[in-house]
Amino acid sequence: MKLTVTVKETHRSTINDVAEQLRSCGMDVDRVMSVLGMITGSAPQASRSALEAVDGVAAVDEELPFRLPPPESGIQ
Amino acid sequence: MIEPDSSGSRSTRQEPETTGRFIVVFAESEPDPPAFLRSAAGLSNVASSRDFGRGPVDPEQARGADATVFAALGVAVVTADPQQAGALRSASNQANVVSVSPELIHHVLSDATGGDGSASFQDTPQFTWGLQAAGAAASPWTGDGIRVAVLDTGFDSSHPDFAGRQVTVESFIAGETAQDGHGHGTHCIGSSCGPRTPSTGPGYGVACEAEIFAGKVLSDSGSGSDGGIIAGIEWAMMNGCAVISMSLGADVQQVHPPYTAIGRRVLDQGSLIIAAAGNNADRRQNNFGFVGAPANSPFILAVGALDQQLDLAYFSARTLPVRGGQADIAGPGYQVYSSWLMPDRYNTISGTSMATPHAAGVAALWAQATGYRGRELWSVLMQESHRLLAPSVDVGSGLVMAPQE
Repeated sequence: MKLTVTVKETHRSTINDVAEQLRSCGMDVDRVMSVLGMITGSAPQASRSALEAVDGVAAVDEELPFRLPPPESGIQ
Repeated sequence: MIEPDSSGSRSTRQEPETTGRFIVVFAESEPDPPAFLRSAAGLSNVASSRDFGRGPVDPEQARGADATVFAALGVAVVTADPQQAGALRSASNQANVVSVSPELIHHVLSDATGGDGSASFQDTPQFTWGLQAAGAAASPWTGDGIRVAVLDTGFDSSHPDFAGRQVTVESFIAGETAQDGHGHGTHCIGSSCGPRTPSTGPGYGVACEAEIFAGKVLSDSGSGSDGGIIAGIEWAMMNGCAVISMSLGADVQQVHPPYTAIGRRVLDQGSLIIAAAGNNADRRQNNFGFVGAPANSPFILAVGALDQQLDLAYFSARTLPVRGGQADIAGPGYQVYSSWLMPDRYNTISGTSMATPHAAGVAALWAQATGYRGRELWSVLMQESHRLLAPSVDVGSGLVMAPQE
């Protein structure tokens, strides 16, 4: 499943280390965003608790999908 | 100025009742207001709040004086003949006095508060109704020097109304360029940052000289997810965008935690995310809906949609009763004319998606006018918005308003 990892404020400067730890716990990391302190990617459901236990991780959330109405819709 | 007959007006002005006295506001640099009143206006009997020590000004003593100076406020109430008032007014052109105004008579407010029952805006050959209602048509501010990110379906780079504009594009959708294949993104960029004087048709863009950052976080088919949206926000931050406009949302009642952290960190770093409240209401069926994610996060400003009468649009979502779930402000979001994919060029559509870029454009104008960023920018948008009679759970602090002269 696709995941969004919120990195603790205290670990934002060492976010690459956090990302490395997440990889070693089975996460396929797409993006590491140091300005916001966020990491996105995907991982099997079973590894979620291991990801949450990584030092510097504030939260792990399942990705939320967004969808616009079609272009011909009068309400957007 | 908006001609009263060419467009809607928000209120009917009545002549205020006055006392015949004047209120003089002194410049902060004026060291001795009582002495100034004596010398500039020839007033002999000047009382000062300092004369009353730490107690309040005695109304009996003040009544007998030509002027009463409230030293802590830098304000005086002055009884002046026309000549003396004229002398004070001319002083207000210099450094000592900020303003000289007639003293108003105040009454206890009655239940009949009046409001926007009479408001009615319409598109004119010069401007869309939204630019008029939000005060953008008359604003001297243009967003010049302010970077605005619109995270949406991208941008139609071939649109002639944006020829010569600084537009930076980036796609966060795998396999798609930043070219808009939907129309929604180009429409939102038009309302927030499009022209006020296009070569054809009415002006429709609020921050018409802002620098545009068009991040494609929704695909040509209109779908996207956190990964691309968050990457787009990061990109906007790295590029120093003061305002990030997101006309997107998911109809979920839960606050999505990543956007709480992101919204706060964006504010901490001097930027502001403005997002659509959502279109999940149908008030014609007594369904009030709820503000979805990401607009329901506490640090993201949620925008509802108004129609030409400044009534709430029937689809505009109501405050979700959790922390952060407020509809914070409202903007023009019904039958909004703006740019669309070529060759159509223009389209008129409705939605909180259309209200959001109006608010984002106005935020850019305030950013330029005041230098405010982040939380201060949020605060001035709230403070300066035009209050409405509609419930605050629907419109927050009211109609977003552009800075004027």
